[in-house]
Amino acid sequence: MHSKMKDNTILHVDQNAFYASVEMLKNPSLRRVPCAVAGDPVNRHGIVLAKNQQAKDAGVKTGEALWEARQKCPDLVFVPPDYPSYLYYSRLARELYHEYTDRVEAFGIDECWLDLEGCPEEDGTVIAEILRERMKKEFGLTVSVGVSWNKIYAKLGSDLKKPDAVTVITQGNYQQVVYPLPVDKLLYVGRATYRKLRRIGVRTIAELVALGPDFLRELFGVVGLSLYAFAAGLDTSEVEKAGRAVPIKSVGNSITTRHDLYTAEDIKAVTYMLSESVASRLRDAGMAARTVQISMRDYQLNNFERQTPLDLPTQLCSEIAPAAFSLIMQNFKEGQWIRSLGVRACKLVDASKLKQVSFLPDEKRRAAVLRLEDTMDTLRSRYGGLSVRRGISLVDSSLTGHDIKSENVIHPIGFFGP
Amino acid sequence: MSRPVTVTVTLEMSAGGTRKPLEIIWEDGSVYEVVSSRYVGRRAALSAGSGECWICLINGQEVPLYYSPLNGRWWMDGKGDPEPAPAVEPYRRVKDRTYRPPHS
Repeated sequence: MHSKMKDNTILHVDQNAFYASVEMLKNPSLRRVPCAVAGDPVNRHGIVLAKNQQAKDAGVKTGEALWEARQKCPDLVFVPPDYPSYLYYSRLARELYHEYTDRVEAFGIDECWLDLEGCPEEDGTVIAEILRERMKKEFGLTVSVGVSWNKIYAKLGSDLKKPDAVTVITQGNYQQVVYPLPVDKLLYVGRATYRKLRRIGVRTIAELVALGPDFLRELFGVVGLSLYAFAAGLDTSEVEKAGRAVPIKSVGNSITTRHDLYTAEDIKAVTYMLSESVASRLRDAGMAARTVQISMRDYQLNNFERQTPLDLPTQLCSEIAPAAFSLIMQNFKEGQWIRSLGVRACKLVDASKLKQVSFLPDEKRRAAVLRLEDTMDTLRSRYGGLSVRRGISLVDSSLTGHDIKSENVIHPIGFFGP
Repeated sequence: MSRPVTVTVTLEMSAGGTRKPLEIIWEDGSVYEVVSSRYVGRRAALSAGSGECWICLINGQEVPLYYSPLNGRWWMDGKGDPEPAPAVEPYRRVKDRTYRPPHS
């Protein structure tokens, strides 16, 4: 089983309805009405990002379109998001967790895992209550906390009772608490996995565990083994020490454009804009990419991904962008309107270890381009992201008038790392 | 009920980095002397928001004074109703002015 002596040292803290709670904290009058934090419909981000309890009771769901939400709840008040505030409260919360342990792993903006093993106060149940109380008293926000001996059960626990509650899952009670839950409550049982499991008649976590690791491996491959470990409470992944540099595996940016893209010109402009940010972030990280990946979503919300290797590892926009663009155009069909576009650089290598790989005069030109793009980075960091732009970006500034690199908000990375 | 009242504060900044409120100017312009104060760390305000908090003795009463590092504002809990809830804006479908139909 597990080597740990205590079975309640891992905490998962989830800030309830985080965006909506911060908005209600800023403006308490919102507490009396159903309200939702809404993305900007002009930029086609018109979905519900978070909602308060009244809105939830009316059936409003996170992620649904604003008009849908308004149909269910005619007196719903929409509030625009205020990311600086959310980041501020998120940072304060993490500072609070750090008073109890040095192992705090963020999972998105409003969730964290804490590992208390070896800390002065090890009893997770006690700390969970303290955190809940302090969060309410000092920030005016509520959290739900899951306490267990592994990260998966801790997260499951924080989902069970909300808001403002603590759920403890121990070796003694997990078979009663976890096993009867529907299987899609489990981390990484998404829509596709859930469908597959339903097809073979698996509804609860207990039934998933009963299948055994060998069968799950046959069904899902290596992921099956993880699934089994997750479900049976055998997951042993550690809570990462905060500030520990996670090795970067890929660098990507994507955007949902203001209007659908259907001309090569528009697609090119957006591709270059995204590639510039990707290349610049690669240079910041001192990495070079060997593969370029593109992702597209068309107006019917079909997703599509392709990748291509590059001749040489690169950190240049002038090499990433053409590769991405030609990859898109190879896969772009007439009459297919693109709603959202992404460019990603993968298979990264350390740029400082790159040796000269070619004797052609090309190498000299690449060095010159690198100096040019470095200079553009410097200009942008001093005078703003839009101070130097490519000519192509002027074809339609409603598409390209974004400072992708600095507008970029970090989204939760996967459980298995980025 | 209480509402947040943004106030102007005369502050003594010590060499050691501590802040001590000396005087508070209320929204109507009246000035109140802070007889004594103690810093109590972060607190959620009764009215709205949360921030660093000092419990101040003013006119023989202990009242909290808040400071938000997020926007640099100082505020106190005032009497009276909080602002009314925002009105429901009709949801309009946004027409994109830059939209061009595809040339077929």
